[in-house]
Amino acid sequence: MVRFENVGLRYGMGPEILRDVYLELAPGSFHFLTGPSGAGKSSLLSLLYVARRPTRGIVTMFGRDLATIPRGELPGLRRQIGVVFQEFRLLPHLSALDNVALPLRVAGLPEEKVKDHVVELLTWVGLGGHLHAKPATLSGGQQQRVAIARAVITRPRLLLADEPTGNVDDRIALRLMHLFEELHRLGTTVLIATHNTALIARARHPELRLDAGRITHVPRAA
Amino acid sequence: MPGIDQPLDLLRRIGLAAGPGPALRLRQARSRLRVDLIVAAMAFLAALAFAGVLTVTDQASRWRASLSGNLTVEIPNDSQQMPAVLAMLRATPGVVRAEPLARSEVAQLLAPWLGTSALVETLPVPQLVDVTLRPGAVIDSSVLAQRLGETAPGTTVDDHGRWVGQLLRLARLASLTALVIVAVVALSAMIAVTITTRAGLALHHEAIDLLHLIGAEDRYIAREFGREALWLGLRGSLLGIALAIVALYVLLALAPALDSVLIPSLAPRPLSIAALALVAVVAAALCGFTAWATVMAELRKRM
Repeated sequence: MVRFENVGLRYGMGPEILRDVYLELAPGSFHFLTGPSGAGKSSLLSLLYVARRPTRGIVTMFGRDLATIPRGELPGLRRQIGVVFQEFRLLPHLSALDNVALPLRVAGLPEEKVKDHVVELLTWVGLGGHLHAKPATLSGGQQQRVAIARAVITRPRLLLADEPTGNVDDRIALRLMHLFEELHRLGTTVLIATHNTALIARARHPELRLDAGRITHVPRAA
Repeated sequence: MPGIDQPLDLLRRIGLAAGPGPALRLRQARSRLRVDLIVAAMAFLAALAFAGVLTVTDQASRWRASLSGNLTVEIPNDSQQMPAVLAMLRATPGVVRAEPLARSEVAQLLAPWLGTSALVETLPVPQLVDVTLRPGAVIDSSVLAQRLGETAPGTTVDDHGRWVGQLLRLARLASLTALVIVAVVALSAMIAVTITTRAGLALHHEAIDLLHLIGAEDRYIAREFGREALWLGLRGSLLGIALAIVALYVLLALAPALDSVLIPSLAPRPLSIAALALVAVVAAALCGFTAWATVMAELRKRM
């Protein structure tokens, strides 16, 4: 599914943020990505959701070398990846419904199908009463749930989440984890970057630890 | 068409109207970058220039039509061969009318230069014959002059070719100048749209990055910019052209003396107005395409 070989990443002429990263996410696996702040988790995730290419090494996504994929084929690749950004990145002028519908519309799904899917999912994450609310009127936790709904609405092959339970209470965190588990059960490969040790302990999935730009603990693929 | 039950649906399908919840809030940018007003000013200038092209072209064809159907035959003052020349002219294929001008009519023609003094009557001015040709008839004036010269030596035939040629050259030059102005104005409008589109891209870079990350193709983003520029361009160009038509009528009302025989009428004709409306559509399409192409080119530089 995803394979990193000797990957390095630096921004401009700065120091390497990621160094000699070897990583393999098998299809249908579930991992947690942990590490102190500044360890490079967000940078690693940005490589995984194809926001940038590595400065060295080989990144293989869905069996294809990222360095050789033509630019025109990147949208198709990215549509197979769902991302929950730490800062949510919701479009402020769109309602919760339109934010969640965006990946479906971008993929060209007929409008009549879009709404049913989105309403059902937003209701499931407890936002059925906020379909037309703009992000600014939603709490941090509600915005996070909209962001999660947007990431999973296309039922991606790979789900990446950056602190997806950081702004919600335990009850909602548990519910969101059930959502991730459900997607995992349906075949989605999941990688969650988190500091929530209780969540990691409860879920019992393998943990990748990133420290000073290196993955220091690489478990066997689940 | 199956599945399209509303005009808006049709516009959406061909990319001219946004779907529900357009991904980029371009209307917010519009308040900062009034490209419609820039286009209105450009369209105003282009419409005036284009109206000039239409008027001059129209007038040139009328000059050509009115002068090309006539010949003027000059017979020396002392020649006694007028009846023979008239007979030859009337027998010439293509000639429908050949009438000599009375001395008083010749004097009237010369009045602007020689005045109306009785002395003019005594001047040895040539005898003139006004010849009207059948529409479409072509007569070689030099061959005709040679034939007439054999009967009345010294006879010349003027087909006004030199005069018409000069007028047409002038008209062509005026049209070319106006077309260059239209082209420069169109280029300026395209540059303005390019600059505002780039500003729009910078303003919306976060949303555009997000759209890319969720799998949007460049053309999805470019379509939103193109669509917005198209509507703004249409609005601006219609405004500019409407103002230009008003300006033409105001100019016409303020300067009636301009509407003389040689200076073309400035009054826009229905066909001209229709042509100007077409300019609005072309200007809008140009704006839309420029914005679309700018976005495509800019996004191609990104990953």
